[in-house]
Amino acid sequence: MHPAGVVSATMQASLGNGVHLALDCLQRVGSNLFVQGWLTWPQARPAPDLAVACGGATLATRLASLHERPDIQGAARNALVAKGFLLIAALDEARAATALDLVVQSGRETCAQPLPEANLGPSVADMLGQSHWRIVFDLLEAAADAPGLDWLLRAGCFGRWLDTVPLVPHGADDQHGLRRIDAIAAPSGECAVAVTLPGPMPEGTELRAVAVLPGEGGSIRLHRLQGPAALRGESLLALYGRLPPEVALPMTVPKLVVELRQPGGGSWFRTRPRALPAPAFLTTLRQLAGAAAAGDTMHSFGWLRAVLEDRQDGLAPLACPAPRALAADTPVVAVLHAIDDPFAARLVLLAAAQIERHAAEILVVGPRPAAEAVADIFLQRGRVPARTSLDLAAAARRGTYARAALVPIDTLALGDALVAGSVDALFDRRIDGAALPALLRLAAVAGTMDGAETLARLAQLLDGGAEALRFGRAEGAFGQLLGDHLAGFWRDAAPGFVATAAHAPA
Amino acid sequence: MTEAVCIVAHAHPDFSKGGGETAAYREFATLRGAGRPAALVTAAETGAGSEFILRHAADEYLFAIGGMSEDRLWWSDIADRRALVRFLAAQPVGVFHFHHLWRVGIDLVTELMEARPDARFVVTLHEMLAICAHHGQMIRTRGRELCRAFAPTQCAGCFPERTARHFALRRAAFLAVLRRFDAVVYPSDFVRGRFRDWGLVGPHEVVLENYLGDALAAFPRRVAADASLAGSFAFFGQPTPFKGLDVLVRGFALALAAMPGLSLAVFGCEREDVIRMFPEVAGALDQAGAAVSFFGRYDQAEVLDLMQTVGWVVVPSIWWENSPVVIQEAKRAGTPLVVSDIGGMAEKVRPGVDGLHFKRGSVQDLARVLRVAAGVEVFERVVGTIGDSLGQKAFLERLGSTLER
Repeated sequence: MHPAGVVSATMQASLGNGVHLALDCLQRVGSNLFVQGWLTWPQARPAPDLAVACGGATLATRLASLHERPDIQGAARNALVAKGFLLIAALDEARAATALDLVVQSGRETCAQPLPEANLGPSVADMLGQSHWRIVFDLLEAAADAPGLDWLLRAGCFGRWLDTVPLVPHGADDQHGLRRIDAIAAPSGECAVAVTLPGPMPEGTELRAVAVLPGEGGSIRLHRLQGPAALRGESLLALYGRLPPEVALPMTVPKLVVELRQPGGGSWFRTRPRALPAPAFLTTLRQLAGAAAAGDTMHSFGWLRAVLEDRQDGLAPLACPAPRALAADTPVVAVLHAIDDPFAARLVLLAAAQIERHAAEILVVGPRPAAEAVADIFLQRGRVPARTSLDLAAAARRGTYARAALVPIDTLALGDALVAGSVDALFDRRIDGAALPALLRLAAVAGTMDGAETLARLAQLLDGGAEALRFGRAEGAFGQLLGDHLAGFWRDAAPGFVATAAHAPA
Repeated sequence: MTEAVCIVAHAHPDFSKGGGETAAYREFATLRGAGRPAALVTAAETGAGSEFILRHAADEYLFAIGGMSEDRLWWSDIADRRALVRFLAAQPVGVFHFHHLWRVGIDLVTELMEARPDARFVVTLHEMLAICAHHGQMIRTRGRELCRAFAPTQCAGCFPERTARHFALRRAAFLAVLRRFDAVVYPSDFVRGRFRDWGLVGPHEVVLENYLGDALAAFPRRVAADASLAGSFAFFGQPTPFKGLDVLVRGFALALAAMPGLSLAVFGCEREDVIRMFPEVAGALDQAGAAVSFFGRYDQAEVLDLMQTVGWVVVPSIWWENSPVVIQEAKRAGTPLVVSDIGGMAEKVRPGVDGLHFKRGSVQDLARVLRVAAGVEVFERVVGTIGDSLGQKAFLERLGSTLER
């Protein structure tokens, strides 16, 4: 994972005043100019700025960077500094055929080198495939941030390089000199990577990651993980980050390209993180943080608190729908949940006639055998259709219930209502079917992607059930903090799902 | 009495001798004897290959329960259920009288009610299965602690593999269907109280003791005490864990040690049966020696005869007993009783009038009460006051008003 990245220059030129320029690659790709090479300049001068000019006018620079080129020998002997460079400029199509100059400005000295009219050297993809991985990772990270570099993705410029970066499992020991690698992701667009070194971590070690998602037409999309600074332990670094909010939730698990940069070297690998629902993701993150902190609980607790604050700020606005009024004649879908008991179907049979009076459709959510037993009651009767599964993502995408009111009915509440003679009242509270996409996002951010569980949790919450706001055992201070954090999403969002009654026309 | 009645029960006494099916059959026979049209439709193990509904005798039908769920409260085989609903709905009756929902089906009752909204529905709750999953006995599954009221969390304690929610759902399902009946018949005030406490209110309720049938009703009662029987006790029944035969054997051995000359006759089982069920009473049996006699199984038709050969019938059950037929039989025979002081036993045996009470499960208190009972004066006094069981006329009057209301 430490390639040398030695490239033979295809064109060299001396620009005077100790400035020497070599081009390894020059490619015009659409309205972009990609130039990679190296240059030297006198040690007494500051590092030069690079640009491309056309007829005296400087073209917009999309990226200009200098990097180490340890393969360039002999510069120091002559009191020169040698650096590799990478320059990407916006190529004005009107001037595409015009002569271009590479402008090197170091302090008050400016010199220019005419660039060849023809492309030079390997393709961009091949060039990057031969380059040092540190350079390519920097470019990958830049491409994730800068819209002006997205052409690199569309043109498949990273493909060759990405194929050569080792793909490691999401949880593995002894990988490429690293003692342990863990990577996890949640449908909320969150990812985390933890890397354990075989010994103490050198000062200056950094962990960075870029998420790679499929793009249109076979291309890729890149997103840099954004979040609090990585958690540093004695020999473990844990990085948490979220993809930007414009990434549609729930997110499919991306591949991560990870760089562990250390003084004098680094490690690069790809991994497909283990997909976990948000609560499990955060619980696992806590374990990773605990391992990183190695007994310094305050340190890891503080970092985790920062993570929760970050996700609260970033994700809460995505999960809250706006309440909407529904007409009284909106078709009703009775959502029967909490049905995993032999007596649930028996109760439903007793209430079937009353349910059928209100509902145009029955949706039974829960474990399959129990759900089928309940749905079978309605199939036997043959009056209204009954379904036994809720693929929340598909329903949200297709708008399956967008024009319906969902009425969640807990079988225990149904039993109480049967005994009290108040089954009709169960249909008073309705969830706006058009709010399912928001419910899907809420599930991605603070629940599981199980549609039945999600709807049941919302229903329980609307019923005032405190159990709906529990997410497994709340062990210790962080468990409680996490529980409160997740509950907050649901508590804040719940009122927005309840449809209000539309006023009847006068 | 005008409308015909269809009696639906969980079993037929030709195949099993439980109290519920016997009561259902006696109701059927008594109604027909009184000139009221009636049909009897009961569950039965009819064997593979049989038709689902079989004619058993005139106006008597059996239905197979192979299509029911394991707990026999629900029909897995919808075709069977619907066939039975169609059959019942087609009966030319105005009243359906159910004895038990077990082996009949909550769903069957519900569908039949939908199919025959014109009919009146009555149910006799012989036992408390709807309240208690432990065979309706309201006694904890571990130990012999009595349970006094339904509580889902306590039920889950008795059945750790089930949740409190399950028991809440179970209650709601039973309660929802029972509340749809027009009338509920209870065999004792004790059972009525338990169902009321559990939440069953709404239907017209009647406490109506099971009728013993015309044959036993016509049997001549003992009218005078034979003083020589004062120290003679008897137990009638099976040595089940809750019938208290172990308590009786040990209590009797204690009483015998203090008062030689007492005797105990056990009808319904052999000595080996008792020791197999209660190995710990072997010593007490040895100690009692020839004072304890075992007579094995007996013919139900001879029960009053047998009861009149002893001074007292002892009912030492450690569970509540809803309305024990053995108490009715003893009262019919005119034989006073010694009973546990709880539930249906305490209700049906008025202390000092129909018999004597002892502290449920207490060997020492039973021994004390047996010694008291063996006193000639007490024996003669109770023989003179013991009440009779329900007669035919009273039974028909009260049943009729329930079916017609």
